[in-house]
Amino acid sequence: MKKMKYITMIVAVALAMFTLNSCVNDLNVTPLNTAISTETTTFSNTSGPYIGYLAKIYAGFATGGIQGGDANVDVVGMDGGSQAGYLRPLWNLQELPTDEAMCCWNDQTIQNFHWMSWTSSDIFIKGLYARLYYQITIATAFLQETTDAKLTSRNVSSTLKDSITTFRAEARFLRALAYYNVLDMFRNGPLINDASPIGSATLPPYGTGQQIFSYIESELTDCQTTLLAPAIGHTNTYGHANKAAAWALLARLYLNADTYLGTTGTTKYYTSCIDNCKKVIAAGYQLEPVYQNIYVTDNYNSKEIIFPIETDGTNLTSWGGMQFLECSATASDNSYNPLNAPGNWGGNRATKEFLGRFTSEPNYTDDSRYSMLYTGYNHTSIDDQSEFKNGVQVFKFSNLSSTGVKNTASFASTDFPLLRLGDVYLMYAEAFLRGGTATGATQALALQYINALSSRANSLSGGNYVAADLTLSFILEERAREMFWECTRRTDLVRFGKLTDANYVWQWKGGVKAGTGASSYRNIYPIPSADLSANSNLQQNTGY
Amino acid sequence: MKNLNAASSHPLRRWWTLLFACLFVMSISAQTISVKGVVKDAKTGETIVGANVIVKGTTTGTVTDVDGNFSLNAPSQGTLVVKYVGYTDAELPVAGKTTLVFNLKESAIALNEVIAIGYGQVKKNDLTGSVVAISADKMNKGLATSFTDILAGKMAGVNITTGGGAPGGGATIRIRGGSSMSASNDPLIVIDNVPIEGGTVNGLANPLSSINPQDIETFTVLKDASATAIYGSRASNGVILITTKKGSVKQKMAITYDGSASVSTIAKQIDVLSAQDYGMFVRTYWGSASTQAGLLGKYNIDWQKQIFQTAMGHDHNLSVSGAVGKLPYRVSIGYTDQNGILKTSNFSRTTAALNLNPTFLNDHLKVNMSLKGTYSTNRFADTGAIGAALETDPTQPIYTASSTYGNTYWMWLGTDGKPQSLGTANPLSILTEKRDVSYVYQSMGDLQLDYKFHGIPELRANLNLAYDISNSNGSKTINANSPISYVWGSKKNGAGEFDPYFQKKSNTLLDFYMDYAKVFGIHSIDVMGGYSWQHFYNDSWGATYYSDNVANVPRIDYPTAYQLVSFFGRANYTLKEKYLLTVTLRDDGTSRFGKDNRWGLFPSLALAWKIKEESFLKNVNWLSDLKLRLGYGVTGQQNLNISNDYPYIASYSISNYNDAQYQLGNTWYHLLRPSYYNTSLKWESTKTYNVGVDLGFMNNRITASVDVYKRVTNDMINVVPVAAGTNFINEMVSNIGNMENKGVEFSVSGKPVVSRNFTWDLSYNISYNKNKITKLTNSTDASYGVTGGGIGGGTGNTIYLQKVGYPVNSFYVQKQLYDTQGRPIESAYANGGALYLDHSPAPDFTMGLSSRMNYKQWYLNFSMRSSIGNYNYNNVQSSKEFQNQSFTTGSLKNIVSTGLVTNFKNAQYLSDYYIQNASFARMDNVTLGYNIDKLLNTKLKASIYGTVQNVFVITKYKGLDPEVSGGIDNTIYPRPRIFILGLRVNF
Repeated sequence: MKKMKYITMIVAVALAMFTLNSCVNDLNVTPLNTAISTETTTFSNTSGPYIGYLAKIYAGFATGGIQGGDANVDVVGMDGGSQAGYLRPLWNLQELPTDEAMCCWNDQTIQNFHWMSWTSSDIFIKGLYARLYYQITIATAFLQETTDAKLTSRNVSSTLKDSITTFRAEARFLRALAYYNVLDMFRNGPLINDASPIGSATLPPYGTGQQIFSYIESELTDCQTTLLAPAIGHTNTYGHANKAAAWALLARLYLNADTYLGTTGTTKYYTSCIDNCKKVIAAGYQLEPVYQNIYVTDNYNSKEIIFPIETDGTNLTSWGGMQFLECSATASDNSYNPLNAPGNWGGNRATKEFLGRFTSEPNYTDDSRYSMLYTGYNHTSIDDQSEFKNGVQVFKFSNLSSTGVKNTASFASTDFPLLRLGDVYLMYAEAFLRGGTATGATQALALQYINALSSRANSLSGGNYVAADLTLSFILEERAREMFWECTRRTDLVRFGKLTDANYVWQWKGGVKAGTGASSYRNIYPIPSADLSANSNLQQNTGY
Repeated sequence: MKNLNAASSHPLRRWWTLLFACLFVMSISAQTISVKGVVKDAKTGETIVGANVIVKGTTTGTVTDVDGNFSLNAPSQGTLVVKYVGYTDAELPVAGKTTLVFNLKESAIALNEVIAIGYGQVKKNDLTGSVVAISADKMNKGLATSFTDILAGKMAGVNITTGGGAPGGGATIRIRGGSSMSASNDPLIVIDNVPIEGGTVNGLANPLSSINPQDIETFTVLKDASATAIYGSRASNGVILITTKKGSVKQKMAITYDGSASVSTIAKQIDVLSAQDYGMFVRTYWGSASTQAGLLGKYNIDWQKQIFQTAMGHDHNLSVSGAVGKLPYRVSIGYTDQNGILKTSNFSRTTAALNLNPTFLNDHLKVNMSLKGTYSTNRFADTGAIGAALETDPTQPIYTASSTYGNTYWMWLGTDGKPQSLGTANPLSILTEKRDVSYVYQSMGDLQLDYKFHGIPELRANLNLAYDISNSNGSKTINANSPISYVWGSKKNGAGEFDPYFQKKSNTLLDFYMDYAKVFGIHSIDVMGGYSWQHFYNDSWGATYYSDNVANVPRIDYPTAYQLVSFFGRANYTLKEKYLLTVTLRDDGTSRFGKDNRWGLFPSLALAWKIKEESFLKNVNWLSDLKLRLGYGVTGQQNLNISNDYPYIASYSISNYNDAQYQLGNTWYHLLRPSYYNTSLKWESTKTYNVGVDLGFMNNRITASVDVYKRVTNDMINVVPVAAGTNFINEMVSNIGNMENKGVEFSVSGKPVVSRNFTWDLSYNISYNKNKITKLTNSTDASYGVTGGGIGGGTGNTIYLQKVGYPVNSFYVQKQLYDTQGRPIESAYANGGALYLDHSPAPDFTMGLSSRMNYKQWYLNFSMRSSIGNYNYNNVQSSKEFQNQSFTTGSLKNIVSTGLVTNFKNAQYLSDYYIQNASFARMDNVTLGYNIDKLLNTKLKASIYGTVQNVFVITKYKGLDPEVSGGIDNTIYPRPRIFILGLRVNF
């Protein structure tokens, strides 16, 4: 009996040991899905993954995710098409608080922008902020993944290394672009750079406007040396950021430097602005002969566009980019759709005060830009805020080609001109008027550029300005006429001190029908409360 | 006796009778005589069929017949013993009598009943944790495609909410409130010792519908941590143990057929304007000469009637159980086919199950083998048809002969004659022009070997091997040129769509434990230690093809897997059979977390005191049971509810989608995206404190139970904002919150009437649960909250806010102002429209009541449920009653009738006017049945019954149905009223 007992004990223990020993190591797993790979299996010495990664950074400005129609989104917790992309949130935050646009929908807090009553928990602000920092983070991660040390360890050939050097410069440009938007909209925010540990719990430090400004300036100055040469029109470097894009962005940065740094009359920045404008102009860009053709489906041929955000009806579809700009401008009953918008959402139109930007111009009735404004509903006063046909409709972004051919895809196909020559001409003139003293910069040259814009817009009776017409307030009005709906209005009004001014009003500004002023803290947006709670290093902007 | 009395009137007769009696007695003691008699139930007086009547000390015996009568030969001085399952044995001396009447008393089964607990069994009497068991006969009768249907309302603290009335539809089970915010709140379900994976199966609305309810023997719900901690990392939301019916050696072959036919009707419709009222409204509101009035049609259509139907269904089950020699078996097959009240919806299922339970080596080796297979087919009807039916203009026709668009269904056309992409799609066409079907095969099998050691009978080893696989495929087809193809989706150009999908899941398990149980005088111990290994694999793919796009759409597979490895142990110690102590410990490892956070330790401790066994209570007869239970335990949660089994690994994925590429130079490039990852992600842990008292009165004629508990969840997994610039996403699953649930549960069950012909069983339970978030992020910012809960209408509107100090999913709304007559004033809110937290969807109290009455052959059962203090956001009203909705997209839309009362012009989605009290009392079912003892003069027993399901609802809620899981009421598939006629035959 005892023997039996011992035997059974031994058998039991042996059985237990056998089963216990196996399988604890099974807990170390790697993803089964071949489409998901780790760092070591993704990057080697072939160009594919590097260019795919770079393409993602570019695409982050054009669509919300890695699937068409903003599916499979990058930024979560909100609607992919309307809140988690780049262009639509940028447009909302740059255009709705101004005379150029008012939305008639009731999507959550969208009305707060025109009423100047947004809060730090606003979802549209949160979405743009998240998108900008998403772009900053993946660009930084790309740079950390393509350091010389890492490339050498992967036996990357020297030709590929050279290409990657250009990719790195482009990633730095794209990151600087995102930081520029942060500086312009939020002024302060978390500041990460190539040394920041991504994926760890370390909280990024707080960057003031001054620090972010300096960082953008140094990045753009540095990366422009290895960026591709400027490309005029449609070339085989289409889509890539090039030196001219860096110059144009630097020009924007310097033109607004006083605002961003809280100073006044700092001449050196206006001088630097003019210098960069000169480089762009010298590169050979030309104004598009017909203004409408900057915004057509084949504008990839345009010699005026310096840096586009691509859109394609088949290969790069989104509800938040050009699709939104075209569809939200036409009435939902399709009663007037001159530019073949692929949908009729009846959302955004301008205030009647915007008409005033043109009516002060001589011979405005011949201005082809003015003809983009539609008053055919005969109700330019916005009496009913939710009625699309109250107000001035704007038909700028076209779903037709330069020869009038319709785009048959259900999504838009027109690139968005983020940086273009027309803007550079205006920046040159303004920087000059503000005291920039670059070599060879004269009032005559500034006037020449302004007249070029005027005669392009108005071939019949434009281009006749004289030196006396060239004042700062004229520049503000001409910028409205030239750059409307291109995401610069809010920045321009802030620079001229007019955004919150009680004496420069339009309908429903500040929530009051006749328009009223707002507190000056509204010149910048609040840091979203979500990030304030997640990062204790940050401070909220004054007033919020 | 009577005879003797009659004879005693005459003296001579008296003497002769006495002499005869003496002789008689003397002869008896020396002889066997024929004894007849009847065996009855002592309480009800009913005769007992099939009771064993044996001559004590011999093997002579017989069995009582259908009338409870027996007849056998027995020695006149002998004793007869009568035995029957569920009763204590009765003995009567024959003592020369030729007729004996036995009255059997029910044995106190309730206390000796054996209950399954994790990795073992225990007598109900010896339970130390909060456990409720319910057996098959106590469950709700009626149409049940899944066991969730028959459990509702039966157990305190267990809330089951169906997702709606779709056939084969899913249900949400919550035990004592949820313990997580974004991780899964579902309890762990163990079927015949196989813990199932619990995730969704593509193509099956309710993955639990693979178990045929007719096969279920018992449910045991483990509620507090001292009972569930043995399941460690998956037990934070409670555990439900299900066992299926088995055969037994002692049983003769029994064949049972259960069948029913059902008719489902729609119980209630949402009130929308009729054609006449709508026409009048449009002409008044927009003007009789307006373009809107010009769009009105001449028809009079009730769209809801068009999409709903009275639906039929039937259900058949056949089971055979018995034993072939020493091999007990149970085989069952079942077939269900059910149509839904929303046209074209259908669910059909064929199940087969086999249970074999032989024993070998002289009962030392017990083998339990079970195999189940299911094949289900579904045709899903899109509930968008209901929303469309509420909005479609009642003055427009259903069909049209005159258009090239819409495949003969009428649809909105713009002024240019082309489809109006923002109009409503024809509701009937949504059902007929879209075909969403799925075919699912599932199989589950378990082999359990339980070996009692020869020579050491106290030691037992148990090995369990199991698998659970499913293979599903299906597709969604939308016809080209149908109304939906112009109005829904991302293309809206009339292209047809075909979306096939496929999924394969498999879950394999190996469990091994050893158990040693011994009694040493007044001490008894039971020690168990074991190991478990479980692997989960999931591979799915899906694609979308459009009829107008010939571009190559790649097949994209998504295989993923994860692994659980655990070590567990339990020790039970009992002193003097009065004082019980249970200690359990489980160490779980998962592949889902990084190396530093991979293992979690989950202990528990429980004490019980059987106060009734104490000397001072032993003679209190009216109190038959009093037990005090104290429990504490820690459980975990690793089911993150995200579709990522590797959240801690830095990875990259290349997108294969052709419609999201970027052109650089002349080439379009696919995008490579880095995925976010969290290396510090770890287990959620929940600590539960439980105090319970079990009571029994009058020999357990009444039993009651009270439990008071507190559950604290730490490191709650939640999707929270990530600091910008640190990761590849803005919100990520992290451990970043604490939550607490406190509550009381009370349940009582009794038999108010027990008499010869009429018995009545009644049971009632009530529970109270209060939920509160106690911590949300690392910051102490008191104003911080996380939004959630998308609603229909506008874009991206949300209605929940998770905030510290408030229940989970509290509504975040504006305070509506009212005029002197109590009508809401549009756009007028208190505090300038500031948002505040107002109620939550979780109820304060839930109650269940069931009653079973038997009168002779008849029986009448009903069961009711009630929920008090739960609020809903009436999204149907908020998105379909504002008057501008009638013409918002260039076409006309109907509005719900309340629109004329509320009188809002524009949508006010965030008004607290739409947060409505959805407390309700619902009678789930009523059954009236008749038992036939001798069907057609044979030995067959049968039962015929009629049941009504969803009998009535009492509620103040203004929407269609107050019971909405999650509290956002946005057109659920309505729960039908079902009339069932059923038949059960036992051969």
